[in-house]
Amino acid sequence: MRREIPAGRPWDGEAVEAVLEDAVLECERGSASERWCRSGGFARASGELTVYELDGEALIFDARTADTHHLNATACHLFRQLRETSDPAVLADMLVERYQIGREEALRHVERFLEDARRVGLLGQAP
Amino acid sequence: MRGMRDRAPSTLHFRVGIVSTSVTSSVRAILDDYAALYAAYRVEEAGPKAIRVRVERAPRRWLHRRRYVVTVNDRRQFEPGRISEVVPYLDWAINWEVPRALPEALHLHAACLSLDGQGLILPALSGSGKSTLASGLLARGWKYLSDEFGMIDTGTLAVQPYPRAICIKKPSMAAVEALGLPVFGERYYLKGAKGYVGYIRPTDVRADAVGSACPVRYVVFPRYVRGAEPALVPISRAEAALALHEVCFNLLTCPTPALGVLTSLVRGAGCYRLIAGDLERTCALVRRLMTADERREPVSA
Repeated sequence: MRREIPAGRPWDGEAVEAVLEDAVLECERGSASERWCRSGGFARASGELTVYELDGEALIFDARTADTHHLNATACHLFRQLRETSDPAVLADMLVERYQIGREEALRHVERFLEDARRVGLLGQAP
Repeated sequence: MRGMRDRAPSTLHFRVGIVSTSVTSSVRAILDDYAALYAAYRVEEAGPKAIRVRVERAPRRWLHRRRYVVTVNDRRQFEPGRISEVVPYLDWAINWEVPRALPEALHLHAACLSLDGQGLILPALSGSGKSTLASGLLARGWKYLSDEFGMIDTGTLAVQPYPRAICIKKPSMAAVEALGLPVFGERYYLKGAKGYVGYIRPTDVRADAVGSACPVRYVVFPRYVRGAEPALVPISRAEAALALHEVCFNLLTCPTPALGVLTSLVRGAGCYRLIAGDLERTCALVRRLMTADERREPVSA
């Protein structure tokens, strides 16, 4: 619930701080939601997923479904980046830089990866 | 009512690698046959956590053929109808119980051998040719660990021996006999959908045929393709760990997370898929892999 500065206490330092804190949180949530809408998800909480990296690839065990997923080197790199951003454009730029491929191709890879990851449940709600 | 050939139940004890079993039956022919098959592993006393198997004739029912009842640790497991089916089902009943009896190990559906103390595991589903390949390698001087179970010690990651008699389907027997491997008793048993099978006792091949626990150096997934040129194709360790995960018998009951053990296991191993064709040439190919330095390109015959 949104906190408000109580009537009659316009200069109450604690109350003002609380309202500012809420505003900051709301701002962060807002920006997070915006990214979520653009890309479709974030890597799910690490407590549910156990990730084992092997020679740049990864195996992910999903404790919720008992499924195991294999990520090749590109997917593993993207999955790591999802902790920081899920913006397809930013992810595609990372692939362009890492693999020296065209931006269109990189964007196709990213969108395919996000679609697959969402389908098998590796993406969760925005924090 | 006890049949003429029956007697008071007797119990024999065996220790096959790290697996202890106690087999009880009042059917003399069955007990004698099983004791002969596993003669090299007879022990005087039951080992700790021994798997208890019992075979008895089921009571005769009106108009029904008499059956045998195989129980394992007091649970009814199989009811083979013919006496020629009993030994394979007895073996099978023990195999079913092994992951339960030794839950601390990770159990993979795999044949396992070693060469100069370096382990090779051949994980595959039934019908992929792993027992035939294991026999071929055994004939070429490899040490035998198992034809069905890759038992991985979750602490040391070593593969443990479970050197049961190698079960070969009748259609593959000609290739195995051509290598000079003796078929136990020169007879065949009926094993469900597999049809007729014969057994090879590893100790009949060589007195020192059975290997001891060793680290896994190679993980090779075989697939028999009739007439194919034998070939080894490298795969990533992650792909290998996932494929091992799929042939794990105690994935959810092993106290140590299976995927963690498997990823640690493959970190130190070369991982390949094997197209197996002619047995001689396939064995030669695998031998070259084990004796050469690890390579990451396809190895062809």
